[in-house]
Amino acid sequence: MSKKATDEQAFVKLVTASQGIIHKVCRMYCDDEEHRKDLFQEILIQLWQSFPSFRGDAQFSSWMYRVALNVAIQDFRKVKKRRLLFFQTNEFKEKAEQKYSTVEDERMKQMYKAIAQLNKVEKAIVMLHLEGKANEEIAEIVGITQNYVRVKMNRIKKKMAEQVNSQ
Amino acid sequence: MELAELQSVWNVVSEQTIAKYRIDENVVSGAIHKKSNTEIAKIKRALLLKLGIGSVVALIAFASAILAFLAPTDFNPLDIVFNPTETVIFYTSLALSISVMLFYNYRAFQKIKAFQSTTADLKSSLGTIVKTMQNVMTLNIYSDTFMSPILLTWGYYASVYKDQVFTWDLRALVLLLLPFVLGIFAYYFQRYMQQQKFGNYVDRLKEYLGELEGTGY
Repeated sequence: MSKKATDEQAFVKLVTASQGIIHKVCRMYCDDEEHRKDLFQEILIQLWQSFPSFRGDAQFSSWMYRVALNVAIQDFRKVKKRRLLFFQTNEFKEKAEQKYSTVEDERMKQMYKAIAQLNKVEKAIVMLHLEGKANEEIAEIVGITQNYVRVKMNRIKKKMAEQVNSQ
Repeated sequence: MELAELQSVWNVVSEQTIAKYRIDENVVSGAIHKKSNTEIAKIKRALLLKLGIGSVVALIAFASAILAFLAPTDFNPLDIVFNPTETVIFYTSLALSISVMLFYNYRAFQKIKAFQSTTADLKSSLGTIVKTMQNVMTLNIYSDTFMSPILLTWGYYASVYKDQVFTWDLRALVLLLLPFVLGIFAYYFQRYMQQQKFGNYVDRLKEYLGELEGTGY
């Protein structure tokens, strides 16, 4: 078996075992089923394309979070707007309000509402926090200082509290 | 909602989501070889296509210039508008302007190819993609600025001097100034087009980068 085939086999095993990370990132960032599928697919492709750069000096899960969150943050759904005959404008939309009509649980609805009003960077930080990551690891994945992680978390908490209080 | 409460709800939602969407190794294996649809991947594909088509057209233009030079009586497909000397200059200028376009396209392609940011931390990755996108937009502006002024100037020359001999008069002055005026117009037009295509995307990324650098508030 060639090295590439061996690498692919190892990659598929590792990603399948840790696929929860991708599902959770998609849950955090996607507003509908179609978008979830697209983002999931894109994260898998980017993970595979980036796999040669995984040297094993970091945890595989941290590496997966980094790649998955990068893809989610850099991903915008393009809406083409035709203005004049030949000019097409690309609008990169980010839906502000998420719809979860199937979710019955009131607490879940509240959670989604609170998360929906966060921007993509805040979503990444809050998700890593909810995943039980220490400030040190969050700082490493996001690329900011631990102190700034604490500052951001305080702002996020305040923002979410304001949202809940306004309901 | 407090974070502790949010945490417990998140754990439940996560478990439900994973259980609902779990996939096996075969699906993962099939998915990783599909076509990427990121903005960068799309630009890369568009540049490859432009490089391919541009190279063929440039080669044809160069070959036509050589043929028109070596065999002016046998090869002069533009004899309705140009004499043999003009035909050689026309094809040469066309080939050169396409080559300039290809040069900038190739540089943009190299930038895109070198882009490997998804494994870096979020802030570095955003910094890299913003820089890459800005570079690519600038190179795209340059690459698309050269062609139209040259072709339009040739069009003007063909229409004005079709049945007359070239003389140094007002028409000649217009002919000399036209590529520069059209070039300036083409530059701003291409800048506008690039802004329409990618400006919104880059602005959003810059906004997030600013937030991580602490300048977003």
